[in-house]
Amino acid sequence: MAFTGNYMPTSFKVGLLNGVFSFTPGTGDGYYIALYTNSATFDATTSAYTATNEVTGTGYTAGGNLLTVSASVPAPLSPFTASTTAYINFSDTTWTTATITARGALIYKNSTLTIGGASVVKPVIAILDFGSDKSSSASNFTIQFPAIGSGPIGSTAILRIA
Amino acid sequence: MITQTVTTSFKYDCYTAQQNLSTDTLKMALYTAAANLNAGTTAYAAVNEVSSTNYTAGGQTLTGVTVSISGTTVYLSFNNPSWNNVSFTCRGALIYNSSKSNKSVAVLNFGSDKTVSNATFTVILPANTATNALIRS
Repeated sequence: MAFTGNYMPTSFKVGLLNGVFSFTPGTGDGYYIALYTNSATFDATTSAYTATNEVTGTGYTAGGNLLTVSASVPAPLSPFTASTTAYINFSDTTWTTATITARGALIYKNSTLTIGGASVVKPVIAILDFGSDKSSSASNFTIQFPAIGSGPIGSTAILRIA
Repeated sequence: MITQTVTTSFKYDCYTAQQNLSTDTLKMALYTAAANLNAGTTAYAAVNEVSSTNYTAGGQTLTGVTVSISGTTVYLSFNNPSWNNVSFTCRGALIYNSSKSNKSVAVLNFGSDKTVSNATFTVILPANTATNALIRS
């Protein structure tokens, strides 16, 4: 039982083609990030948020933090853009004065969606493996998302379709 | 020039919940080599579309459109579209969503001009499998 890498859930891929995930800033779609211990077992088949093996500790509330979709979602792409990548970026998020240890995270949408004809509660869009346990002791615990990249733009964003 | 690609605007639409390929109507339109279709193509246009008896501008509705899963790969299946008793020369095609303001999905380049004269023209799409399907991730 352990994290085995980063994954994009298969159910999320289906949801993209079903047109059920909107990342447009300000549309009210709430995406959260929850933290987990290395006892968690997630892979591409993980489709929904779970509280099992979620971290506990001072400064952390079950369900995690609400993420902010940053304003870098590309506009509908003028023919002059050099990039053919659609990407999503989130602002870094911090748990303050936290005493926690986490090995990875789930990013999920805090709603119920119909994906591939099935109802999914709090569908997961990404599984992050931090590579090793990360700890904080009465201090800030911050998730730093990768830069979106510039060669081409969006090439290193956390979520992207190239 | 026709460049085969999934259009960038379709990728954007995936992240903004604008197309549902399980329920929307997809169409395929055919074009001559004079067409300018590429990743920046955002919607169907009739410019440089083929013309012929028995070919209607806008092309035809794709059937058998299904979002399928194999392992961790998600792909889109289509039936091969055919036009009966047509005469034209075409070089490529645009798959677009007629349910959503004719937004583009993908551009196909046939590699060379394909000519038909008073016969059936069929676009044979790649096999509907996780490793061959036209649109997959």
